[in-house]
Order: sequence, then structure tokens, then C-alpha cells
Amino acid sequence: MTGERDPSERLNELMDVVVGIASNDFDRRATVGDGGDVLDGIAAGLNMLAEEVGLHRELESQYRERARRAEQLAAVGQLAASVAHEVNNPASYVLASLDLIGMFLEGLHSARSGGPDDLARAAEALTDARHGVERIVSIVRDLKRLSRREAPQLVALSLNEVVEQVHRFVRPQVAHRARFELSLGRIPPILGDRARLAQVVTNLVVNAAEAILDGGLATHFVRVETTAEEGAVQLRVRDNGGGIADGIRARIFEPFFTTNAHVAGTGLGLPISLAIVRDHGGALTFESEVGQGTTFTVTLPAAPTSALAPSRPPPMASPKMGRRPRVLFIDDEPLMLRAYDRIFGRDYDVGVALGARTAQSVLATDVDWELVLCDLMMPDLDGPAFSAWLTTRVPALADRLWFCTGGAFTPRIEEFVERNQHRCLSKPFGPEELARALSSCGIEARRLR
Amino acid sequence: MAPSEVVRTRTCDIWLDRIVHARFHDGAMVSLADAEENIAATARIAGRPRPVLIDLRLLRSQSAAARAYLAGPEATKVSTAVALLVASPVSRVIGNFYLGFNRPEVPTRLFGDGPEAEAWLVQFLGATDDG
Repeated sequence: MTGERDPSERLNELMDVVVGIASNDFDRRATVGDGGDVLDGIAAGLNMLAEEVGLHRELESQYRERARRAEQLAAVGQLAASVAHEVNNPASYVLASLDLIGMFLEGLHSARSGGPDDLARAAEALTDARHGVERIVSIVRDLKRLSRREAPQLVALSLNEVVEQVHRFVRPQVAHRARFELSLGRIPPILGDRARLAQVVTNLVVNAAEAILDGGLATHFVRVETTAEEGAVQLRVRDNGGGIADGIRARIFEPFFTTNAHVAGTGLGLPISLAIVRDHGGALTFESEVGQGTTFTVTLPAAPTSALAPSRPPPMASPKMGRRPRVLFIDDEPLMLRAYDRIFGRDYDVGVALGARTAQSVLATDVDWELVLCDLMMPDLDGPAFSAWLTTRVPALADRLWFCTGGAFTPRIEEFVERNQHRCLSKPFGPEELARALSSCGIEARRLR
Repeated sequence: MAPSEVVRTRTCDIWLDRIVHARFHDGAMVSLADAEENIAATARIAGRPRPVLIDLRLLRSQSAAARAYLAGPEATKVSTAVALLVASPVSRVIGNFYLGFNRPEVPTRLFGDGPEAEAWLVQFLGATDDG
């Protein structure tokens, strides 16, 4: 019977539940007797309170994660217009350059052109076209990084690189309101998740731009600075916009709180940025003066030197005497295989296989390859399945199998890329990347130039 | 109309006598599964939504999931209004938690007196209910 229990023991039990709730331990319970006295009522109430608060905390955690993803997608959505603008420009001059080259070749064929001036212009057009494509590739690569949804991956990286990536994307959004300036110092690497840190920088820069009214370009700026501090890296986003009023400073990290009702946004940028910075062991603070502007400061710990130790390169070996390195390319796109032969055929002994099943036939009679480079997304037998086959049937080539992808589109392929990042090339890739792959297999690669 | 037979679930006795009566067993600790069983039994006995008088006086505990279920749409299929009979400190706490945290979808009130609770529920009897 409850009435036989020592009252002080029962009170201590109640206190234990209260302390548990206060310290985020929602599993403690007090004994409820036969309901005859007030202490039993309090015990029942505290037990239910602990259960309810625990449930609500769990829901809150799930909600925060969903909100973070929603904000991430919203940020990607906001950048879509910038991306379209950025891609359309180089695409335009690629097309123009190719048109010019086409006219030159047609004129050459009909003997109407072909002199040194025409040749020079065609060569220049080719250079411009290449530059345009490289720029598009760079934009797409950065966008993939920004929208990546995998679990946080901490790698040693340069915060300056992240800032430069964001600068390319966000510049159009800022440019009509303020000068977008970078002042990037010599800073040590940090351990960070590139996509999430880019999200933080994007949020802070876009917020700064939105604090400046349209038409302020001549007199307003948004400046991103990076500096090294003792054992840390600091990133500051400064603007000379309207500043943050005293009355709302305490609320700016509050979810959904926004002073820009006319601007499309979720009001989650700052709370999510704060959460990301804290996940990185850092701090996000700000200073502001009404009429003068605002500075947000992100402080992140520098990467420990043990995280930066370079891996020992494999010992270099020359290809077999008297021959060029043999590289087998596997892809389901005939045009890709033709491009590989054209680009790499001068310096390598290039083999091509249209699809993984063809590659299996090739390898049934010829396994003498320095490198096998396999596309991941193929309809008949994809990269992971081919890898499993090769590991079993041609184990000697397992360490010489690399992969290439234009972008993983299925969870299975995404997961495979995650596990094999160290031997994946992103399309399009060039001689430098191929040389790196061969080098990792211990083969001294030739360079085209 | 004569009272129906009493249906005994793991935690509760339920019968129909113009309104649905449900009395929790001494020391009952109600889980989600128990709540589902009780609602199903009530639906069989009542046949259609009716006023329900629930005696919580001997109840010892009720899980958060059970309370959420009882306040949700499944319960509205069997009840037009609910009167909770409380007396002990535990039953008063459980009753108040149910009202405050779960905000049931049908009219719900706490009572310390059975006849008063029944008198309140009578107004929710339909025209076709035996009266």
C-alpha cells in the first residue's frame, strides 16, 4: 500500500522525475500507488508530464530536421534563377563560337576561307568555347555540392573555396543592390561539410543584400572577409544596410521570424545557419548599428594537423617497357567513347566498350589494362554491378577499376559513390584527372601537354 | 430499454443503459492497445455514436498514446459527448491532462458526481435514442 511508504522517500522519487525532466531525461518515473493521496496524484502528473515533454522534444527534433531540409531546398530554389543566368551566358558564347567554327570549316571546304586570319579566329573561338564549357561544368559542380543531401561529412577544406563558390552563384542576386566584395585572407583548413557551410554563407550574404534597398548599388556593399585567428578561422559578412533594430535583435535566430515579409523566404535561414555552425563546433555572432550596417561573424575551429596528413602516394611504376598505358573506357554512350578516344588516344592505348556486358566480353580475353574506367549509370549492367563482377571474376583488376559519373540519380548509385569517392571522377574530366587515376594505380601517366 | 450485458476488456467494464458506461478496473494502467480495445468494444455495444460516461476513479495510469487515440477521430465514431468521473488525486490529474493536453474532439467535461454527469450527458442523446 502506498500509505506505508515513507513520505520523504516518495518526495525524493518525485524530485528525481523533476530533475530528469530538467536535464532532458524523460524516462524517469515515480511510483503511483492506489491513488489515495495527493502524492500519488503528483506522481501521476509528473509521469505524464515527463512522457509528454519527451514526445514533444522528439517531434521538435524531427521538425527541425525537416525545416533544415526545407530551407536547404528553398535556398537551392532561390539560386535557380542565378544558375540559369550564369549558365545561359557561357552557353551563349559556346554556341556562337561553334557557329563561327562551323562557318569557317564550311568556307574552308568551299575554298572561300582558310587564310591565316580565319584560322586565328577559329582557334580563338575554340578557346572561348572551351572556356564557356568549363565555366558551365564548374557551376554545375558547385550546384551539386550545394544541394547534396547526404549526412554531414567533415573533410578538410578551405573556407575560401566555399566562399568563392557561393560568390559565383549569389552575385546576380546581390549585384543590383550592392557591390559584392571578397577579402579572403590566408587561412588554415577547417574540418567541415562543404554543402552546409555553403548554405551558411549563402544565407548570410542573401540576408545582407536584402537589408539594402534597391538602387543602393553606388553606395552600398556586402563584403565577405576571412581571417585566421589563433586555432580558428573567422568569416565575417558585413553590410552597410539599415542595421538591426534593438527591439528585434533577440529574435533574429528565432525560426520563421523575418522582417522582410515582401521577400520570398522561410525565415529559417539564420536559425539553420546557427545550427550548422554549432554542429561544426563554431559560433555565430553579430554586431549591428541602426543606419550603419551589420556584421555577422562565423568562428570555426581550424582542422587539427592529424586530419591533414597527406596519404603516401603509391610507388611510381612505368608502363610495361615499350608501350603506352592501356586504358579501357566503359560507357553506354557511343559519343562519350568517341570523345575518350579522341582526347586520350594520342597519349594512351585506349580501349572502349559500349556498356558493361561488352566490357565483360573484352576482359574475357584481354585483362592487360593499366586502368579500367567505368561509367556508373548504365541501363544493362550498372557500375556497382560491374564492379562486383570484376572483383569476383578478374580480381587482378579490382584495384585498377575507377568510375566516372555525370551525377548520381538513384539512392543505390549515390551510396556507391559515397563509399568509393576516392576512385570516382566527375564528368567531364580531362587529362589531369586521368593522370591522377593512373597515378593512384602506381602508373606514371603521360600528360597531353 | 434494458441495460445491455457488461463487456469486460483487459482494463474496463463497458455496458449500455441509455448512455454508454465505462468503468476502469482498480489499478488499471491503460496503453494504446487497451484504448483501441475499449473503443472497439464500445462501438459494438453502442452501435452508433452515443454519450459516454467514463469512470476514471480507480484508474492508475494512461499512456500518452492512449490519450491521443481517445481524443482523436476514432473515438468520435462512438461518442457524441464524454463525461469523465474523477475523485482521487490520480484520476483528477489524468482527467485534467486529457482535457488540457489532448483537447478531445467531442464535448468533454470532468465531474465528481455520477448523477450530475449523467444529467449533463442526457442532453446529447439523439431523438432516436431510447429515452
